[in-house]
This record gives sequence, C-alpha cells and structure tokens, in this order.
Amino acid sequence: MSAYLEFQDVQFQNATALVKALNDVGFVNVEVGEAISLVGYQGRQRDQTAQIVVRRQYIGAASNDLGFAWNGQAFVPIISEFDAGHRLNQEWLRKLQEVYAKHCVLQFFKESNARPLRSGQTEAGFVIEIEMEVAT
Amino acid sequence: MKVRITITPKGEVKVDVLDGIGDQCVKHVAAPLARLLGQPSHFEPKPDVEIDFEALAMIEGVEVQA
Repeated sequence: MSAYLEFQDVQFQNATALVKALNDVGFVNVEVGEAISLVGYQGRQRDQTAQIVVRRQYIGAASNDLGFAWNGQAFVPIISEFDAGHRLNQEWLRKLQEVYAKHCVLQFFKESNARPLRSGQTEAGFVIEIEMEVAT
Repeated sequence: MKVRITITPKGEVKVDVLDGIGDQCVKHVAAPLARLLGQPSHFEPKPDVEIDFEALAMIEGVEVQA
C-alpha cells in the first residue's frame, strides 16, 4: 500500500481556478465535495479525505486517488508516494501551479476593468500586458 | 495605468508597472492577484516609478522586491 503524502508547501487558494487547472492538465473528471474519502489502487478506502478529488482510474493503472484538502488556509495536494514518483511528480505539480496561476489571472480580468493589450510566451514566462483605468 | 503580468514556469506571478504609479499598481493589480492566487504576487518597483512604500506595507500578500 502506497502511503499518502501531503504537500503543504504547494497551496491553492481558489477552488474554481484549481478545478479548471486540473481540467487543463488532462483531468476532466474532478469531484468536488466536503470530505470525499480517497481510495487506493486496490479499491480500499483510505483514511485521508479531500474537498477536490481526481479518481485513480483517470490517473493510471496502478494509481491511487489524488486529493486536494483544505488545511484552513488553502487546498494542499495529497498524492500517494507511488504517484508522486510517476505521473504526479514535481514537474507535474509545477505545471499545475503554472496553469492555476493563469486561471487566477483570467479571473482577475473578469473581476476588474483590466483590458489586455498583448500577451505571449517569453523566456521569463507567459506575459500579459494590461491597461486599467484607476481613480487618482 | 499599464501593467505587465508575468506568470513564471514555477507558477509565480510577477507584476511590473509600465505606465502609472506604483502603489496604485499594487492596490489594483498585485494585491487582488495575490488574494486570488493565495500566495504572494511579486511586485518589482522600477527606479523611475513613484512608490508609496507606506501604502505598500499596508497591503497584505504583496512582496516588494527592492
């Protein structure tokens, strides 16, 4: 049985942006609830619960459920030791954080009067230039 | 006000003001982004940009890089 690991240093505040980011990295089926029990690769329910869950069948043949649990301040990933060494590794987490950040920026656009001027990929990352009217 | 937002490959968000006042950039862009992200957004003031550092210090979630 692969132990679950909590990644407290990887935090997501915004559930909507997190679910969209998970969709973008290939997990279209995402469960959202209060305390969803995680299930291991043998179909056994584990002690860990999470608010946002990707079921193991969408991850890999020998995978365990992936969860994101609210720690009082943010959602933190709960990933099995097996999956953290395979598909859901550090590189995958980094990509998820990048896509999550893009969705937060998009949400910021929706909630503000910001007008995108241009955008594009650079060596420093994905760049968006905006114009805003602000009261002086 | 014109602002450049950079999303780094690590998922960090950096905010640069291109045309405008620094503390307004922090108030209207960097701070709201930090709240949405749940992590600090990084505001890098340029030497030729007017900065109200007292105002900056009052806004949570924004790391000012000297």
